[in-house]
Amino acid sequence: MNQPIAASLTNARTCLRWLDGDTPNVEEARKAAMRIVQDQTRAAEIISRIRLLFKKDTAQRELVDINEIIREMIVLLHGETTRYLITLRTKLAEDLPQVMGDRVQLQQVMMNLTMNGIDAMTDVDGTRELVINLQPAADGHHMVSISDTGIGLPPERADRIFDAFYTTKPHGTGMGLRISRSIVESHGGRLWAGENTPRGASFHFTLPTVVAQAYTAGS
Amino acid sequence: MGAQLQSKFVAVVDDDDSVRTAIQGLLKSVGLPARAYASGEKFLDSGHHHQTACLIADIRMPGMSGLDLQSRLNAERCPIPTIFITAHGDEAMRLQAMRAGAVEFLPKPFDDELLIESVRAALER
Repeated sequence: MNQPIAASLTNARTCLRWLDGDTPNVEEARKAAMRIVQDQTRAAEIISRIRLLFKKDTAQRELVDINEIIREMIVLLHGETTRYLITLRTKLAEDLPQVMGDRVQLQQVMMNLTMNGIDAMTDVDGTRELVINLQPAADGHHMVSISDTGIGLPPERADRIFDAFYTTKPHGTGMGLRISRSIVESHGGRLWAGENTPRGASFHFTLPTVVAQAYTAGS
Repeated sequence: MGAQLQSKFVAVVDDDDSVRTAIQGLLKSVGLPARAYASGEKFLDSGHHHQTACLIADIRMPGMSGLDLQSRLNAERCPIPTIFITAHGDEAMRLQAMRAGAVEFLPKPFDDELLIESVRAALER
C-alpha cells in the first residue's frame, strides 16, 4: 500500500515542477494530478479490501458436508498425530443432510478444537487418544464431538475457557475457543465442553442442517 | 546534453505501476524522457539495455530482483549506471549494490531532487 502513496508524493512534486518556472505547463501538470487521483483510488481500494478481511459478517454461506470437512481435517492432522503418538479414532455417521454454512469458518472451528485436543495430550503419559464423532442430533441438527485424553479442563469454572484471552499456552492468543463459539453460534448452533473419562476433555457442538432450517421456516 | 544522448535514454524498472508512471512523469518534467518496464526480464527481453544510458530500478520484485538484473547486465558486459530505489533497503544490500557499480541507492519514498541529480550524475559518466 505504500507504493501508490509514495508515488503520489512524486506525482505531486512533478505537478509543482510543471507549474513553476516562466511558462507553466498546465497540461502536464494536469496529467500529474490525474496520476495522483489514480494512485489514491488504488490505495483506497487496498484499504477497503483489508477492511473486508476483518469484517465480521462476510460469511460465505453454501451447502456444506460436515462429514467431508472432518475427513479433510483428519488428513491435515496426520502429521501432528504421528508426531505426538496420538491415536485418532472416528465415528462418522454417513448420509447426513447438509449444513448451510461458511465452509472456511467451520474448518476453522474443527482446526481449533482438534489442535486444542492434540496440544492437551503432548505432555501426557499413558494413552493418547483423539476421538472425533459426528452423529445426528435432535431437531435436524448434527452433533460433532471431539474428545481427548489430555490434561482436562480447569477445575474451577470450566466455562472460563471460552473467554477471550484465556489461554494455558505460553504463546497462545486465547482467542481460539472464543472465535469458535462465535462461529458456531452464528450458524445457529451451540458449543460447550465437558470432562472426558477417565481423563481429558470433550468438546461438543451442534449445527442445524437444512432439515432443521426447514422446521424453523415452517413454524 | 550531447548528441550521444539522442540514441540513449533512461530506463525505469519497477513492478508497481504507480511508481513507474510517477518516475516517468518526474523525469519528463526535467526533459529526461524515460522508458518503463514492469520487470527485469521484460527490460532484458526488449533488447533496449544496449541503448540505456541510465537505469532506475527497484530491488525487490517478483521474479528477477534489481540486484539480479545488475549482475546480468554486468555479466553481459553491458554495465549501465544504475540507481536503485527501494522500500526495503538495508546496509548489506546497499553495500552489495554499490560494490557492483551502482551510482546511488535511494530509499522509498525518495527525494525527487536527489533522484534527478543522481540521474544527471549517471548520465555524465
